[in-house]
Amino acid sequence: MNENYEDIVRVIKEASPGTIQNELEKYHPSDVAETFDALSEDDQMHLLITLNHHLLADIFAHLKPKRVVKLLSKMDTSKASRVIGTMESDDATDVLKAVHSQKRGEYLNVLDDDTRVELQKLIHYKEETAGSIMTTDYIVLEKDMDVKVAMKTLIGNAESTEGIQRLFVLDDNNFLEGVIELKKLIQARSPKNIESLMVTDVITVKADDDIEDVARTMQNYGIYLMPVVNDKNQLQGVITMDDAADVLDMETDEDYARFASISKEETINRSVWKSALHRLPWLMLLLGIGLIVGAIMSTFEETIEQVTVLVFFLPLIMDMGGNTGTQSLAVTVRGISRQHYIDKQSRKRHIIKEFRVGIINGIGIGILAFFTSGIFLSIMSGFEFIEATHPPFLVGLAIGLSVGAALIITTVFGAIVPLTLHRLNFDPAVASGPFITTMNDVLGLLIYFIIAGAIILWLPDVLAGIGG
Amino acid sequence: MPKLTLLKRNKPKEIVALVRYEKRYRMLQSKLNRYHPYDISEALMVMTGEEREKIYAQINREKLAKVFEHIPDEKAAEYLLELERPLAAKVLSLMETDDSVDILQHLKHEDSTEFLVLLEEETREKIRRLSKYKHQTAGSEMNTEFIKLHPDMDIKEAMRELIDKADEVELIDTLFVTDDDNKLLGVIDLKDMIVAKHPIKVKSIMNDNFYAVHVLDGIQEVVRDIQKYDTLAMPVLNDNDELEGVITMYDAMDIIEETAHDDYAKLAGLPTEDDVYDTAMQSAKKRFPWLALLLVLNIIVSTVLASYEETIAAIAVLVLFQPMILDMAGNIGTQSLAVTILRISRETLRTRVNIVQHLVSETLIGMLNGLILGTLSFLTSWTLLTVLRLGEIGGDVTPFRVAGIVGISIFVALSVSALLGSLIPMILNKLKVDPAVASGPFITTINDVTALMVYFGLASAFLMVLL
Repeated sequence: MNENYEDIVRVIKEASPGTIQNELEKYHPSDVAETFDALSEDDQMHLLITLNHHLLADIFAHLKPKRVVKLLSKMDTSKASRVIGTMESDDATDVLKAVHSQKRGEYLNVLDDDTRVELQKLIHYKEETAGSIMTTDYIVLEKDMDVKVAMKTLIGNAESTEGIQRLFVLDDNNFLEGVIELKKLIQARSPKNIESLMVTDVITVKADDDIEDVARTMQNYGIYLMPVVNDKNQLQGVITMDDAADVLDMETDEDYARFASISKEETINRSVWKSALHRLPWLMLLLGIGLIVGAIMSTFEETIEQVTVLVFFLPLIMDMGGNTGTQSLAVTVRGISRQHYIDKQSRKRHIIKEFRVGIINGIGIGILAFFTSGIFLSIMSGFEFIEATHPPFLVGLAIGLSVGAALIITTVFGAIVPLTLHRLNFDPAVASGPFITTMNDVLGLLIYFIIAGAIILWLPDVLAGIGG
Repeated sequence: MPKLTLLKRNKPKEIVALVRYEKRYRMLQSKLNRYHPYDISEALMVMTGEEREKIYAQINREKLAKVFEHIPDEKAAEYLLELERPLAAKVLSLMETDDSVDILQHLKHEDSTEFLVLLEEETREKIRRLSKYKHQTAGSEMNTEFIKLHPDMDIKEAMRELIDKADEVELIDTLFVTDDDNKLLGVIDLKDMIVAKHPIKVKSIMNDNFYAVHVLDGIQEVVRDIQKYDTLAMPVLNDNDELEGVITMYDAMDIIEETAHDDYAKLAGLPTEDDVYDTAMQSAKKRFPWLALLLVLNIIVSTVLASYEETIAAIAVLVLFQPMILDMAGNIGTQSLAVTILRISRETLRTRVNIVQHLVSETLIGMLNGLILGTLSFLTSWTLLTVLRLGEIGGDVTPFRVAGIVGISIFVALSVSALLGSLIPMILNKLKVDPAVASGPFITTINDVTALMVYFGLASAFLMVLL
C-alpha cells in the first residue's frame, strides 16, 4: 500500500460530502484508486455518488477494466457514460471492451457524437496492436499558421491533452505533413510560420503494428509521442511514452517467463496450484523425451555393459550440451526480439558466429575434459575406488572428443532453431526449449556412445594392429 | 507528400552501406546527419575500426555524444579509445553525466584518469559527484540537467529561462522550483506555465504536493513509482531535500529493458553485458568460464555415480531412466530459479515473511508436480519395461520394482530441486554474491547430485533388502 493510504482513508471517512472532492484531488489518482479498492462497499458507493465525473475518470484510469465495469454498473447510466467520455480514449476503450455489448450500446448512446464515433472506432483495434493503446487526444496545427497562432492553439488545448511534447501538422484531409517539437515552438519568434519549423522525416507506426515493436521503436529513438497513421498517412492517434513503458514492462516479463518455461502470471502473483499447473506441461514433455532417450540408450546396452565407466560421464555430456545450447539460445532469442536479424545476411552471419563460438569453446572444453576425466579416473582407480577396466586417459580421450563435438553441435542448433521457428512465425522463446532439449539429449547421447564406444573398444586394437 | 519512414527500413544497414560506398565526403556528411543517433550507434557496432573512423570524422561532437549514449557501456568504452584523446574528452563532457560515468567505469584505471585530467573542472566535478552513487540506485541513473526556477520569479521571467535552457534538457514538461539553498519547493507542469498570464509569480502556480525519490533509493522502486504515477520527470533529492537530478520516463524505459536483459542473462548462465555485437572470440571468452566451471563441478557428479558402480552393474536398466530424471529435476530447478531471480531483482522479496512464503510455495509446487509426474513416470516406465522388454530384467529385478524406484525418485528429486532452485539464489543474494555468478552451474550440479543420490541410493537400498 502507498504511504498516503491512511490519510486517504481518513479523508473518505471524515470529510463532509461538500469537501471530499477537493480533499481527494490533492492526492494522486493512482493512490486514491489503490485505496478505493480496499474500501467497504458502502464507502465505495458513497464515493461513486459524491465525486464528480472528472475525478472518477482519473481514479478509474488506474483500476483494472473489469473492476471499472462493475463500478459503472452501480452508477446511473448517464453519470457512468459521462465518466467514460471523460477518460483518456485508450482507457475508455479498454473499459468498453470489457462491458457487455448491450450495456455498451447504452453508454455510447448518451455520449456526444464525436466521442461516440471515436470510441466505436477504437474498440475495433485488436489487442496487442498500436491502435489499442493509442489516444486520440493530440494537438493539431496547420503548416501556414504563424507561431503566435500555433501558441494560442496550444494554450487553448493544453489542459485537455495528455501529451504535448510534440505537435502534429495536418492538412485538411488529416494527412500528417510534419511534426514540431514543443521545445522548438516555444523558442520560435513571430513572425514565422509553422512549415519552417516542422520536421517532415517523421517516424510513424501503423494502427495494426505490434505494440512491442512500437514500444521498442519509441525506446530506441526516445520518442515521447508516437504518431499512428493509416495506409494513406492520415493521423489516427498518438501513443504516449507511459503506455509504451507499460507495454515494454509486460512484454519483457513475458519473454523471460517463456524462456524459463514458466507462465507470465507467475512473474506477478502467486497461487501454488496455478503455478504448479502452469509449469506442468513442459515437465510432462520432458518425461516423454526422457522415455525416448531411454529407448535409444537401450540400443547401446552392450557398450554400456562393456564400458560401465561411460555411465559416470553421462550427466557431464548432457549438462555441457544443455548449457551451451541455452547460452546461444538466449543470445539468439534476445537478438530476435530486439530485431537484430531482419535479413538473410544478418541471420547467416549470426549462425556462422555461433558456429565459431562453438568451435572455440568445444576445443577448449574438450581439452579440459580430457585432462580432468583422465586425472579423475587415474585417481579413482589408483585408490581402487573403481575397477580399472580401461586405461584412464583412453577414456579421457573419448570423453574429451565427444564433449567437444556435442558442444559445437548444440551451440549451432541453439542459434538455428529459434531463427527457423521465428521465420515460420512461431514464438521462438516458447518452442525452442523442447527442440533444443530433445536435440541435445538425443544427439548428445548418439555422439557419446558412438565416438566414445568406438575409441575405447576399437582404438587399442587398431593401434596394436599398426604397431605390430 | 512528406517522406514516410517505415519501421521495416533497416537504417543501420543503410548507414553501413553509405560509409562503405559513398566516396564523396560532402555527400557522406550530409546524408549521415539525417540519421538518428540511435541508428548510427547500431551501425557503428557492426563496422570495422576503419569504417568507424569515417563516422567519427563526419559527424559533429554533439551528435557523436548522442551516438555514444546509445552504445552499451562496454563497447562505448572500447570505441572511446579509438578517438583522439581531446575529442574523446569533449564527447564525454557532452554526454549525459550518468552515461559518461558508466563509460568511465568500464575503462582501465589509467585510461579513465587520463580522460578525467582532460575534462573541464565543472564536468569533472559532476562526474565525481555521480560516481559516488552505487550501481542500481537513483543517484547513479539520474540526469543532472534540469530547469530550475525561483519561487519569486515572475512567469515572464520564468518563460525566458525556459526558452534559454530548453535545448540543454531532455524534457521540458516538468520545471522545478527551488529556493536559494537548492531545496525543492515544488514542481510546475509546463501546461500550467504556458496557460498562466503575466503578472503572476512562479510560486503561485507551482504544485507543492509532488512525488520525489531519494538518491539512494533502489532504481527498481523508482521505476515502479514513475510508472505508477505516470511521472515524466521524477525529482531525485538528497538528505537535505536538495534537488540533485531527475529520472525521466525515457530513463525508466531503458532501465526496464536493462533489468529484463540482466534477468535473462543470469538465467542462461551468460554475463550480463550485451553479446550481440561481440566477435566470436569475445563471445567465446565470455561464455567459457561458465562452461569450464560446470565441467569441473561435474567431477562431483561423476564421483557420486562411481560410488554406485555396483548398483549400476547389478541393475543396468536403471541407467536408461537417468537422463529423464536429471532433465526433469534440472528443469523444475530452473523454473524455481527463474521466478526467484526475477523476484529478487524486482525487490519483492524483502521481508522475512515474503521469503518464507516464497520458499514454502516453491517447495509445494515441486511436491505437487513431483507427485503427478512421479505417478505418470511410474506408469509409463512400467509399461515400457513390460511391453518393449527394455533392458535386461530378471529375477528379483521386476519391471514393477524398477518403475517404482523411478517414480519415487522423481517425486523426491523434483521436490528437493524446487526448494534448492529458490533457496540457493536467495542465500547467494544474502551473501552479497550476484545470484547470476553462481546460479547456473551450481544449481545444475547440485540438482544432478541430489537427483542421482536419490535415484541410485534408493536402488542400492532396494538391493540390500533383497540380498
